[in-house]
Amino acid sequence: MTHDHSSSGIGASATAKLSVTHVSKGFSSVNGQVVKAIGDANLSIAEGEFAAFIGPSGCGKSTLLYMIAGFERPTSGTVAMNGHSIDRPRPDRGIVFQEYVLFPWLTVEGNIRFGLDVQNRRDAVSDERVRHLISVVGLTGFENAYPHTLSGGMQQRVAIARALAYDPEVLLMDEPFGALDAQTKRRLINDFIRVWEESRKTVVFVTHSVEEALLLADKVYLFSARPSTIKQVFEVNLPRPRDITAPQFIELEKALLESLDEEVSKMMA
Amino acid sequence: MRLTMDTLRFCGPILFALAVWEGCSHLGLVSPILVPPPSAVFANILRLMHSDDGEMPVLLSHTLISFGRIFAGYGLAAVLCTGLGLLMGINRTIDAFFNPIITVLMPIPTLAWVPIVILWLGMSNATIIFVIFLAGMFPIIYNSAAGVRGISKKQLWAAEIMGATHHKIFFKVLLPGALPQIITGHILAVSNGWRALVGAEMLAGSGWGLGYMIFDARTFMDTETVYSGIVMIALLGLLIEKGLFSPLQHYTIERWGTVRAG
Repeated sequence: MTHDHSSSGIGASATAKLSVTHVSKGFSSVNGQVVKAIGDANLSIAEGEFAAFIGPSGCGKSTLLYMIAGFERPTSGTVAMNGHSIDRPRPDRGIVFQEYVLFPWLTVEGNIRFGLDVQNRRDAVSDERVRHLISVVGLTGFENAYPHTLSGGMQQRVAIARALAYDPEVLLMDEPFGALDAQTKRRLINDFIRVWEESRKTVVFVTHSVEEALLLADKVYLFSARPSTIKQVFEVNLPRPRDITAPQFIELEKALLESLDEEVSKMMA
Repeated sequence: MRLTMDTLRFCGPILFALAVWEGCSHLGLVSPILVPPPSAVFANILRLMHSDDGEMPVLLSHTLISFGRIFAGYGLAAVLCTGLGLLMGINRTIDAFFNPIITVLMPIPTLAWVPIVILWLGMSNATIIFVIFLAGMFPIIYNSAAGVRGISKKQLWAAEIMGATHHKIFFKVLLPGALPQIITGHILAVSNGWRALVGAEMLAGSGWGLGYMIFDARTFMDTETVYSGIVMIALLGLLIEKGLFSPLQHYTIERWGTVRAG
């Protein structure tokens, strides 16, 4: 292991890849009032864990993801990675957005290379890595295409490869399959599971879909209604690729849906 | 093949309009003095483009001088104002300082400055170039700043988390991302520049330039030369559009799909 896993961590969170401790986040709304999206969030995600965040709209799950990314800061509490408080975006993390957010002026390969290029990493190893990624996400033959010529599913494949190309320790995904039609989504999820199993990176995956969460994650963190806390953690001990018709899957799905519906109706109230 | 089709599609309507104009002249529907037929104008252009004594043809001299002034004035605005506009788009403090000044100055017609600039710089080339610079300044600043502000926060976040420094974000994200609007600003700057040039040459023309030539020919009722000057301005505008901006757009923002191809 060449990773710099500093052992100077703090307390119990030292063993966690990511730890969220007493985090709250308030926003000032249009009429000047402060809306508390996150009340008191606590969780810890282990190295190599595939974590899914699910909860009612507006519960702050994407906001928590952005805090882990370093894009936003908590109002109070700490978000830490490898025991160190996260202060800004750094390339030890990678991000995939729902809207792909590719750079239209770069080709498929240019987009995927972006992280390596800005980090001045151009060598045989990274070249090989990019080539390999292009092939496993199914983009061979499209290296020189510009993003606007690709379908949504293909663009999201580019975005996933772009986030993995510079080999971050943690992959953050904000509803990455939310904008895709059901068929494209199914195929992309299957391909993504294969790509992920090659590296088994720590993943934090925000989603609206119970099925997506259960297909992918080791643990599903259910957010409560605003001001949110982590209401419940569901462990999914099923081998991948998972069968959505398996009895254990359906049982988990039912329990998770029920708990989620409770929170959704609280938000509506 | 595609090029000839495009050329035909572009030139067709213009040729049609010229044919109607020619017909009206010959049928006596318009005065041949106030609206000379295109054939007479083109014959006049050829005459003015011809020189017996080995010196540069007079129309070519006027044209080159005007073109040089546009080049200098617009070039100055392009270099100085693109950077300022981009900085205003990036930095709130810089924007907060320059925005009110620009808001106040922008509605003033460029030609209103000419008398003052003549007092500063005299009836000289410098005056005309400065006026063209003023004409190009605002569209370039305004559009460059808007181009940067239009870049999505998530695009900047994505670049940042991948390890891009400020310097790299500027060159690899902000500049290409703002390019569609930067180009729009520059196209407007050149077309505003032509307008300002002709006006400035009429007011401060030091004996040369297409604007001066038009103004001078008018006093002698030489309408064929007036029209010749107008045609040359249209041709030069077309040359800049088709020779500079069209290829630039074709190889950048049209290829990237950040604007629809024409």
